[in-house]
Amino acid sequence: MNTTNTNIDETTTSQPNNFITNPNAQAGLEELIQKIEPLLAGRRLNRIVDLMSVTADVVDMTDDYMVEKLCKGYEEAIGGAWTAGNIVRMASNDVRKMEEPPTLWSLLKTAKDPEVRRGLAFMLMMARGIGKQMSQPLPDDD
Amino acid sequence: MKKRILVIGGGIGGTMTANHLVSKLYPEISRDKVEVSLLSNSPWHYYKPAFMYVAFNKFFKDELRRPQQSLLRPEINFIVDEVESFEFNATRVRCSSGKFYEYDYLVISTGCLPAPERIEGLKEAGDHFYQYAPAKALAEKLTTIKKGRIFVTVNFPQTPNVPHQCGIAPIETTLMLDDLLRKRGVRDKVEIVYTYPTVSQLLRNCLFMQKDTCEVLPTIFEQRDIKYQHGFSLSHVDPDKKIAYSHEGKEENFDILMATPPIRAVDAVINSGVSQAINNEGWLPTDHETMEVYGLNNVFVLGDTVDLPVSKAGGSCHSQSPVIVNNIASHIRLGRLCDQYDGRVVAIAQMGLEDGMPLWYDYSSDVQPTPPNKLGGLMRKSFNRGVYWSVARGLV
Ligand SMILES: Cc1cc2nc3c(=O)[nH]c(=O)nc-3n(C[C@H](O)[C@H](O)[C@H](O)COP(=O)(O)OP(=O)(O)OC[C@H]3O[C@@H](n4cnc5c(N)ncnc54)[C@H](O)[C@@H]3O)c2cc1C
Repeated sequence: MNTTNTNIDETTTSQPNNFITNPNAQAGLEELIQKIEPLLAGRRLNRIVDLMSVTADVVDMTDDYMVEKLCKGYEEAIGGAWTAGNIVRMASNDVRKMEEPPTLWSLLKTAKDPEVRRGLAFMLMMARGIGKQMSQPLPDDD
Repeated sequence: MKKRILVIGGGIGGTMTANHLVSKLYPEISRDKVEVSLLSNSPWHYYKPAFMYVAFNKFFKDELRRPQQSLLRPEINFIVDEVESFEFNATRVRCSSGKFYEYDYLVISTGCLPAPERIEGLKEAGDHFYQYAPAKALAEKLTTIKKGRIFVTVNFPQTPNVPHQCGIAPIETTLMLDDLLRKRGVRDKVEIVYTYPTVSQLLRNCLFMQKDTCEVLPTIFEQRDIKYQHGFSLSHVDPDKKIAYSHEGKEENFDILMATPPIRAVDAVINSGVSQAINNEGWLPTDHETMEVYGLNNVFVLGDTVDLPVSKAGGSCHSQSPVIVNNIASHIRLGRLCDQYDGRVVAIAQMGLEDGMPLWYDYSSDVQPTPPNKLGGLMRKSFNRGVYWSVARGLV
C-alpha cells in the first residue's frame, strides 16, 4: 500500500490504472481468462453459478425451527458419542489393570455391585426397546 | 394428571408432529406427565410426491413407502385404526374397531382425497398421478403413446381461495411429460396442451396461482413447444368421444386427459360438521396463525385438511408442525399459546426430469422463480430418496 500518498482521490483513481497497466497483473488476468475459457465454452462455469444460487436458496429456506431440530440432533449425537466414549475408555482402563482375566465365578460376583446391575438392567431395557421397534411384522401389501 | 396428546393421520404432517412432540416434551414424557399417541388407518407411510414419479417410471412402490412404526420414536403409542367420527364435545374419537380414544390435545392431519367423480365423466376418461394405482395406470399410457394429444387440466376446490394439492405439481408433470416423450422419440407426434382454469385462488385468467411464476411460464412452455391456454375450467368430459368441455364453452379433444382432479377432506372430517367449506369439501376452519380449529378447544389441524390459502404441500406441513408443537408445549407449560404460523411453504420444484428449482413463499410474499438447474434437480432427487425420511422423523 502506498503510505506516502495522502491524496485520497488520487489513490482511488490511480489504483485501477495501476492494475490495468501492471504487466504482471495483466499476465495473471490473461492466464485466468484462459483457464476459464473452456469452462465458459462447455457451460461448466454455469455450475458454479448454480452452486452459489443453490447455496443462497438453502440459506433462505432455513428457518429457526430447522436450526433447532438440527442442533438438537447434533447435541444428541455428540452427547451420545461422548458418553459412550467415556464409558468405553473407563472400562478398557479397568480391564487393562486386571493382571489375570477374571474367572467365571468372579465375573458373576461383579454383579453384586449395584452399578453393574444397573448397567445390566440398562442393556436389558435397550433390548426391550429394540424388541418393541421390531414387534410389528412388515405390514401386508395394500 | 397425565396429558394425552392424540395425533390423527400417519402422513407427513402427523408423523413429523408426533416425533417432534416427543422431542419437545421429553422432560414431561420421561416423568409420565405427557403421553403421545399416533392413530392412522394404515400401517404404511407413503411418500406421496413420489406418486408423481411413478407416472414417469421413476419410482417403485417399496421405494416410496416405509412401515409407519419404523418412522416413529419408541415413546409414541402407535395405533392402526380408522377414525369414524370426531366427538369433540366428549374430547374423544370413535374408531371403526368400535374403540374410543380420549385426548386432552388433538392434532388432525388426515390429508385430502382426489375426487375425480365430482366432475361428470372425469373418473372414466381422465388420468391422474395423485395416488399410486392411478399413477401406475397413467405410466402405462405415457410409456406407450406414439401419437396424439395429451390435454392437461387443473381443477381447484370450489371453496374460495383454497388451492388444489401441491400447487406446482401440474407444471412439474407437464415438463416431465415433455422430457419423457422426447426421450422416447415421439415428442414431435404428441401434442401437449397445458390449461389452467379462469379462477385460481385470487388470480383470474392466468397459467398459475401466483403472478410472478405466471409471467415466466409462457417462455418455458414455448421453449419446449408446449401449447398453453388459460380460462379452461373443466365442466364435464365425454368418455366416448374423448372430449373435455369447459364452463367457458370450449370443447377440446384428447387422447390422454392428465387432470389435477377436485379434492376433498376425508369422510370423518367432512361428517364432523365443523367445516364451513362449500360443496361439501370439508376443509376445517383454521386459525391462520395458531393452527387451532376455530370453535374447538385444544384441537389443532395442519396439512391438506386446512382451509388456508397456502399450498396443500408437505412443505407447508414442515412449517406448520413446529408451530403446533410449540403451542401445545406452551399450553401445557404456561397455560397459553406462544407461536404463530407465517404462511411459509418451502419446496424444491421438479422442473422436467433433470432440473430442480428451490422455492419458498409465505402469507406476505410470492414465489420468486429462479432458473431451474441440475444442482436443484440433484437436491430434489436426494430429498426424494433420503432426506424426506429424516424430515418425517422430525430430525430436519
Ligand atoms: C402427486 C403428488 C405430488 C406432490 N408433490 C409435492 C411436492 O413436490 N412438495 C410438497 O411439499 N408436497 C407435495 N405433495 C403434497 C403432499 O404430499 C401433501 O401435502 C402432504 O402429504 C399432506 O400431508 P398430511 O399429513 O396433511 O396428509 P397425508 O400425508 O395425506 O396423510 C394423511 C394420513 O391420514 C391417514 N388417515 C386418513 N383418514 C384417516 C382416518 N379416518 N383415520 C385415521 N387415519 C386416517 C392416512 O392413512 C394418512 O396416513 C404432493 C402430493 C401428491 C399426491
